[in-house]
Amino acid sequence: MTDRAEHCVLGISAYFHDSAAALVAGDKIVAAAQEERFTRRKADWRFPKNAVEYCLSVLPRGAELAAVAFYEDPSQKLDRIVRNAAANAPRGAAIWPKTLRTLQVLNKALPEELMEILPDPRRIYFSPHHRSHAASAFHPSPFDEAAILVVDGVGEWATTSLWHGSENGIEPVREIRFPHSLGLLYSAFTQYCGFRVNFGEYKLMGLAPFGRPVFKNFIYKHLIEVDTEGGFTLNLDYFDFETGNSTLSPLFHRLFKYPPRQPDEPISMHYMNVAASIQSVLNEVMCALAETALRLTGSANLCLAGGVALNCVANSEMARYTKGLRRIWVQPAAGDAGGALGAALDVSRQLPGARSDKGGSGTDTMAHAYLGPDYSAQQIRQALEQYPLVYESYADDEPGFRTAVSEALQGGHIVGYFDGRMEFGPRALGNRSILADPRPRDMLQRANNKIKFRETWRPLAPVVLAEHEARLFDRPLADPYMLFVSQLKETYRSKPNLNQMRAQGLSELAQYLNRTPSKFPAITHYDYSARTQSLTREANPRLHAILTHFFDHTGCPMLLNTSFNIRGEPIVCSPLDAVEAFLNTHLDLLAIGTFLVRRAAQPDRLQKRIGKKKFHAD
Amino acid sequence: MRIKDIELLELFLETVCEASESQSQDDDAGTTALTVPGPEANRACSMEQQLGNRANLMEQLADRYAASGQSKLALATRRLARALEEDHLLSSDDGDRHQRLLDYVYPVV
Repeated sequence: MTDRAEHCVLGISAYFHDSAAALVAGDKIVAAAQEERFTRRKADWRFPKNAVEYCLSVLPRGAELAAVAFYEDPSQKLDRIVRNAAANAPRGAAIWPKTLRTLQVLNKALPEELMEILPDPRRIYFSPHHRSHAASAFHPSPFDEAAILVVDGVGEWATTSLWHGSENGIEPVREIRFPHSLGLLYSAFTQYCGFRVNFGEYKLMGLAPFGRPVFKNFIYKHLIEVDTEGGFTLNLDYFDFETGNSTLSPLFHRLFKYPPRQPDEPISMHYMNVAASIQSVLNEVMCALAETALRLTGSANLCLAGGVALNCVANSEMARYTKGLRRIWVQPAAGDAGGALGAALDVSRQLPGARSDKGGSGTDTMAHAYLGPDYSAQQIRQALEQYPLVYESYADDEPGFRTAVSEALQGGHIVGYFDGRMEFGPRALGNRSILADPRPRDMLQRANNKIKFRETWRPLAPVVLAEHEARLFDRPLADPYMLFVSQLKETYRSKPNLNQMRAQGLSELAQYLNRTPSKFPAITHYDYSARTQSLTREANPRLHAILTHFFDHTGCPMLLNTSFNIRGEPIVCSPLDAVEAFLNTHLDLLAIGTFLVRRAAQPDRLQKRIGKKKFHAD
Repeated sequence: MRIKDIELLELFLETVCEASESQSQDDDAGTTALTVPGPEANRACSMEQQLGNRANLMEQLADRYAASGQSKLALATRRLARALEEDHLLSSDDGDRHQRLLDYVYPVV
């Protein structure tokens, strides 16, 4: 934390999806966290009182809060909602109560909540939604100049926007407006394939490799018209999101000849092909938009944000195939949570006396996304003794700790790993992670069935020693944030591959299970892709030391790394959350701060808790 | 149908349905491809600037509509602003909003 007295700005995103708060001092990011982590309610949309409280608790000494920045312009959003309701009336009656409620929140609740934090309307700022995203993408990036591409569902009016970032700040270049939205299009297919909108888009992306893009031209013909610059128009006859209680209109169902898949139904080849097709369309449109952004700005660097920028397959396609692209950087909290950070950075630069330290140093200023709360040894000990758990205590940096964790991993144990500051954004990057050996054939199933309680076809991701990554993967770039996919090298692939499995007549997803064609089956998808986290010593010395020890004794330079949470719940935040997750799952070991908690050492009454808790579908 | 539902429907008819004649589906919205953005996308402004001399943002929006000759939209927005002052019209939003997310629908409003 900085001790320098400097103006601080608190950024806030709220009232839509995944609310968050962020604190910046000048250009320096002091703290950022999502509200869901504190309230334990996934993607919590309510005003982030707890995240705000956390951010203000780490206000640097001698600094004062100069401004509060909200990540949207409520006037523009009110304008969009009122105009849209009028334009569509009398359609829209079904969602009228919801429309009114949103109007009331923007008109009344939001200003009141903001004034409670800083009771001075001259120091409360509204940064437009896409501007907030663009600021979150450019200001922390390693570039001193870049094109910026923002793509999401919708904020005020813009759904897609192109910007230019330079030492003078960010300037808008082009935009596409509601209701034409790539994010909404992808969400429509998410709904069609039986996944929850705003939650299940990553499942749709994960489903795509099982299918073939046989509907791609069909989608271009009927649903989205795309020009050579990546500009697009949706055929609104097939969508109902403007006025109805469904994203899809009945015409959409008829177009694909099958009804939307129900969430508990088996996933047939039809839905796999649909997923592959929309992913292919998304890849192509994103690449076209990226090329246009580079051409219009004359830049070779690209920054990305907006919810669609969490689609790591599309990101990788852009990184590999965009003409004229030299370097790419994606805001790790690319969704609405990151808007809080962008708004704060944007407003901070506009305050009187603001100075920018941005110099294109080649490294980003996200502090490896470790921007959330951390907890003292005393706080951790209190959580452990609350039950009480039987635990081992180690001194700081004692080699015995990393040896014990590594040996547990070598022994096939699954480890809940909790250390330091919580990550900001949707990915666990080694401070709130579940770790395991990626090589055993049954590890994916064990982790999915016994720990995560989620669908067994979904792959998990690896954390890889940066110095060994290129030996294992063909990668678009070394990425510390799990925002791109790499391809496993030929040497580490096994048979039968996906085409051979298809040739065997496999037609339902369940038939593919446990047949990942890889020597690292827990972290490789069926198309050999893996969402790698490239780990350096500098980023996370303690985890790096554990992984190095694991590599020294196994020859395997990577671990399975998945978020430390249970299905339907947010990633753990506090030591008590970690203890609860440990007790409600089949985790073998909890490594928390400098303490180790072994499952086998716990008394029977705690062992009996496992499997008792009911989990919500996500 | 509850009394509250009827009140909501009346409000729907008296506001956006009344204003709908002045709005076409693509009026000022739905630009079909990449366009140069307006100046509003280019700046953050303070709450004081947004409110002007008005008590709330809806009233300020109504003023803007009126100033640009969109009288029906201005009238509808003023009525809505007044109606939203009545707390009984909308009960707690928590459960309903949660349901929206469970409904597999992208919440554009």
